[in-house]
Amino acid sequence: MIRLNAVTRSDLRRRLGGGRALTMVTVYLSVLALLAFLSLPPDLGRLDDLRQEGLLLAFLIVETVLAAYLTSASACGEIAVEGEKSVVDLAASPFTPGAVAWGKVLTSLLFATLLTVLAVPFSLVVAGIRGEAPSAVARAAIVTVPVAASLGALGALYSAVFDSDFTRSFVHWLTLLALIVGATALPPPWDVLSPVRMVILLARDGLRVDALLASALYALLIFPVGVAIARRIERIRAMYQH
Amino acid sequence: MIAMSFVFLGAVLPARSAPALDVRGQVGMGGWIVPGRFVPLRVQVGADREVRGTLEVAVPGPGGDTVTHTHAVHVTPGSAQQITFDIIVTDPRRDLLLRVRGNGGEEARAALPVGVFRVAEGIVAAVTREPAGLEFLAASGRKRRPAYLTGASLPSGWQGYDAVDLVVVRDLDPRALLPVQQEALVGWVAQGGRLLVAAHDALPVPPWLQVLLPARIASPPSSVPGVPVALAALVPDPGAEVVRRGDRPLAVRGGFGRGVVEVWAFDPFSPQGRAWPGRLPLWRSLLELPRPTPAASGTLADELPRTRPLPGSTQLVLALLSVAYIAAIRILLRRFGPARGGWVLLFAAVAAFGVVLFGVSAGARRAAGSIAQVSIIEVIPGAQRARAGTFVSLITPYGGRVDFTVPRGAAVRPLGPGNLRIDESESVVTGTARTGQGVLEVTQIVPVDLRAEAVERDGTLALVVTGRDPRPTHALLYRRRQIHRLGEELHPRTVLDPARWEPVDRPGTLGTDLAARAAEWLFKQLQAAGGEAWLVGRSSDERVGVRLPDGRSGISAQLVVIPVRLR
Repeated sequence: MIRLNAVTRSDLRRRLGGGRALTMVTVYLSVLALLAFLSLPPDLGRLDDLRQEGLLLAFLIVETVLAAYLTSASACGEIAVEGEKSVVDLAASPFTPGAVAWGKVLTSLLFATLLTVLAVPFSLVVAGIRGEAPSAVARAAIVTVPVAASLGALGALYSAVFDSDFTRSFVHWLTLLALIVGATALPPPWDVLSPVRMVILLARDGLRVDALLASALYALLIFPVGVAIARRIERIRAMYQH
Repeated sequence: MIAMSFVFLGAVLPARSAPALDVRGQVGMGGWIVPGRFVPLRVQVGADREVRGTLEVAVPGPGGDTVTHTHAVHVTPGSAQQITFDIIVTDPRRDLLLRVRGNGGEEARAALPVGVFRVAEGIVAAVTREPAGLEFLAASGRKRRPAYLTGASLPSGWQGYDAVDLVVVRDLDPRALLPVQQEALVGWVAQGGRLLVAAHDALPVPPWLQVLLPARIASPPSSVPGVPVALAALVPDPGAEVVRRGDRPLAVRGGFGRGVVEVWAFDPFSPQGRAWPGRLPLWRSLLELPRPTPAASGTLADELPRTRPLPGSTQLVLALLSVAYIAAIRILLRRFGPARGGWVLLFAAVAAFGVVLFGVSAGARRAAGSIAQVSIIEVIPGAQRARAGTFVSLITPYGGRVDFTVPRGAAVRPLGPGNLRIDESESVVTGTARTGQGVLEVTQIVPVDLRAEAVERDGTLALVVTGRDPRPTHALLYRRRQIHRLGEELHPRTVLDPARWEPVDRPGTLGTDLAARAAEWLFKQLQAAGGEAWLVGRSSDERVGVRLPDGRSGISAQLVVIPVRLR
């Protein structure tokens, strides 16, 4: 049986059982349910004459952006989950810096996975009504989970680096805008780094190598971020010891 | 659209050097095509082995769409199968694609170029063994082209004559003509086609053709003093128009249905006939006759619904399932989220709701695909037939395809964008509409025995309807933008009350359903007919229109239109 990191175990207990966390998940699902319901009018399909999957793509993009935001905002403290300890709080705990860093990274990964999985039924409603294969939803998840998890890890790093709430939120939003809006404006082939572009490519065109590589890049980003978090914890501890 | 298929059992293919499967095609009436009109396409599939599969003919349509005609093929070793399609070429610059598909995929393909040099504005088809006599067409100013045919090569569906301006019958072996070919020619003339029969030694007029003729050919052509061509003795029917040379009838013109039939006492294909200048005014008067237009035209399709929303009940089910899902997730997260093994329950709930929601939405999508159709059954007076034009709207609000069956022998013409696949063997049409909607016209000729007359007696005007077929319901009499309602059931004799005529322009006069909207549209068309009166009523003729695979006809309406003769 896999023994879960103690930090992750504690964080997940708060995120899955806490009142504010439940509200967050409920709002997330309600927004997706509303979007799925709005995709029912047939006239909307004519926005895209040739491809009926236009609405499914729009849905999957919104889902990815929402999952990425909620994961990173929870990690950086922009959305405070009651009882969940931040990286700075944990720096004073007996856990090793590595345990705290990888615990926070793993929390983001599992929370991103949870949000992606919870969205599946609504994605399937849109896919079903628009005549798309459910596999398109699965392919989009290849993007959603790594992107949301890496942004969650970055959020955890920001919570350790920036003391000011304003600065933390500012950098957090700057990162989101840079990756979601800025990267989309990049010239090809660099635009594939945009999560929006990646979702479109994977959901519409199948398992494309360039989109898979970009997705793997986001997944790999977790490791240097985890190392950076651990370093930051060591620095905080050293600062307090002096 | 009817496809005539027969096997040449005696055909021999070259033994070893020939390819295993050979596909060849010949398009056009005598090689000529008129863009936008049906022309025959003959395809021959030959093989030195047994081939079972499907022949596909991909015809490029306007806007990059394709109309694909298919027909089953079964070729035994060393034989060939010939299949005839009626296709519409819209862009002669683009090749047709012929493909044979077997169980193992594509077995043969051939491109069939059409070419702009084959394009004509109209075709004069002559059934004659003498392939000369129509050279004057080149000097007529219009790009009308001659096609010299044999009786055996005449179309087997009336739509095969769609591009033809005039059919001339000179040499006809009655045994060479199949019953379907005879019916095709008669059906085309009844709808407004023009037929010329030239008296000739080798023309024994068969009974089915004699019915159409306005005169009887009493004797073969013989020399007549003062006339440079030999003349046959014609005995005109009462009421026929006669052109005389001296006291001899030279040409006799009559009508059959909405068509024109003429008999000439001389042979315009003989050397003397070809050299006689007196023939040219006769040709001109025949070719310059205006072609009658059917009452139903493509704009009727605008009255059809193009889309429809999901039923309220389906939307409610989806909404309730969504709310139930969110509530279930909340409960599971609160109670079992932090617990060991709670993830399993969570994933089970996601999987269960995912399957149900996908099933409901996919089912709703399938149920949303349908058709809407409106048929105008236009009775052709004096021909015991009716031209039934059905306009079909493919309702695919969420994309996808719609399958439906068309009556055998019906002509299918796309009126808008969208891909069509027409299975000629099974009379099944599959439509995929690019913009969530597609419109097409299905035309057929059906035997109908209904006549309407307005009889005036003792100062009273009465409408008398006779015939074996069921009378239309909710009928009304239309004349000059005024209608006279005849009640839900139409009686054989109805006295017309002058006080009961009402203007048709009053909004909502006829109602708002599809049949009422179609009737209003029809009255605008009939306005062009001037002072003629028409009997218009609703019908439910099973022979007319298209059907979904489960036998339903979707949103449908049928109108019968009968010209009323004043007596």
